[in-house]
Amino acid sequence: MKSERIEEILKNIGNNDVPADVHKIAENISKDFSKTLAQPKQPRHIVLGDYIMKSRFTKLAAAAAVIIIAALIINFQFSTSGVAWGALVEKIESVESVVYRLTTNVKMQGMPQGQTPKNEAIAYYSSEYGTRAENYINDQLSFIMYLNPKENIYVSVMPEQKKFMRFTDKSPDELKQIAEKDDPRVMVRHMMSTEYKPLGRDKINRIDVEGIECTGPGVMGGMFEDATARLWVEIGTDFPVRIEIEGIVSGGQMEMSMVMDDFQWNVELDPALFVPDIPADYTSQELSLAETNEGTAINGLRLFAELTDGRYPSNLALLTLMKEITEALTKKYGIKIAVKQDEYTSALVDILQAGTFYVQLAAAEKEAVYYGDSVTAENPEAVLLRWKVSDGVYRIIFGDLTTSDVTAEELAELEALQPK
Amino acid sequence: MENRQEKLFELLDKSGASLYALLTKLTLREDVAEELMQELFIKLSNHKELRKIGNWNAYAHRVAINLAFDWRRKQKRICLSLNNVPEIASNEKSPLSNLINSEESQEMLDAIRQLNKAPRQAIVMRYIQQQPYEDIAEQMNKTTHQVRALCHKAINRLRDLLGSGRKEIQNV
Repeated sequence: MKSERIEEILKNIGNNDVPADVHKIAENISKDFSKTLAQPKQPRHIVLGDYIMKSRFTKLAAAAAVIIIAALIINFQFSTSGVAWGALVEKIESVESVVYRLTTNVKMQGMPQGQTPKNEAIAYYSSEYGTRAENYINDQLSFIMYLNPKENIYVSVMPEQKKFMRFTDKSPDELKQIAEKDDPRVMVRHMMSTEYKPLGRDKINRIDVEGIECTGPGVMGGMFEDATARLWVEIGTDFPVRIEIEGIVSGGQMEMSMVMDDFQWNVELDPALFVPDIPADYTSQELSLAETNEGTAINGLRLFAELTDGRYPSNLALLTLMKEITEALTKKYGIKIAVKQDEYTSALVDILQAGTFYVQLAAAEKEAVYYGDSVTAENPEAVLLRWKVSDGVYRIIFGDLTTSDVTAEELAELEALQPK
Repeated sequence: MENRQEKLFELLDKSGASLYALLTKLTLREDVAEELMQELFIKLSNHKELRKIGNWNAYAHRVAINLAFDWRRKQKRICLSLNNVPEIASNEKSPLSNLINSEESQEMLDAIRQLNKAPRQAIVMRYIQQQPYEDIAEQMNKTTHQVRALCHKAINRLRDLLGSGRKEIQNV
């Protein structure tokens, strides 16, 4: 197949009309169906039975019968012991504390299974005291993260390295946003606000549960290029017992699965858990997390291009970006990340600003579009990233990292000239 | 419940033909389209939050697209022979021409199957359903530029998937 004929072949499929009589049959069946069911005085099952016998589309007719039965069953389920999905968000929002386990698995193309480390975290959330997350790699405590927006605390303590890292320059609101990224209560709220499909009932650890599933790149707020999330809620208590998230990065080159389980809702927590415990012999590393804006995003893109001789990240989804930064650093310096932690962290923090900025634009529905998969520093006039700033006005970061405001018409002209 | 039934039958009445046509185009099999049509309406009837669906027609078409490509995913590619030409819509051309067309269509649809969900839906709506960008944007809750970009990227991806190492049927 000639690749240049793709649009022609696609249009041919679209132009291929199904035979006129098939159209007519489908239309007639639909009309007959509606009429049949609109006859109130006739017993419905007999009418449907007659219809099914006569129809050329017997399966379609049978489906209609199933619709009626299913509607009855659903109605019954709703009125008895199903999960009250509509009230779930309100219930979860009123929770004061929660403890859960998060298990993360990463699969990389070309890397044999079992070579990626086992990641597990035990997270404690309290609406009063903040967050504590104990992170384990291959069952060894790697670091403990403390985050309390009210007290402006954001600290990571690394016992093995006898170090602690204090993140500064973040406002309480920004810290609150960071805390919400892993907050199961926020995840539940997001899932319930998107289109989801019911998964029916099941059992998890002998608990009767009912589930829903959401798919799409927005499921984890821009973390993945595409993701599926499933929420399982205990029938009776209406509390989540398991959240499963599967996301892909780099067009499927990297797959990440996350499972949140072992939930304890509204459990009493010791306030001391949330106070950073830093022994006197630990050394500190202050890390500035400047406000994310256009300037920090451009700086991040510039740093990435310097590492890669003019290439920009192919995608600004945060995990893709992290993967590409790691690859770029390894390729450029041949470093082992484990022994060059400081350089790695510094580059990561700066370059990730570009991804964070993009996530903010997407969250604010500013029509952000990024073209890093086709635009490099060698395309100075091509649109690298653009977003809407006001009605009919768009801001552009070009391939040479200069910026400009353009009208919608000018943007359309520029985007028509984008490199393929 | 009555409201649910009414909505489903209204949908069947208004969009049954176009849904069936779409399923036929995406599966290239009338019998499969019929099966999937059945599955589609069962899925819709089982949807517990139908009240939340703003645009039934758009939603049903999205589900139909997903069903068709799920079906394709489950299928093993069948080596076509002159005796095994799938039933495609038009029969105006010669059997050999049909074979070439259907082979191309099958390859194309299998490649579309490998796209992510959003670009797949955009490409089907744009090229197979031949809808304007504005309509697609509204149904996908995106801007027209985003839809254009999705289609643009999807076409590039299809080029990658179909561009090299693919067998071409020679017109003999």
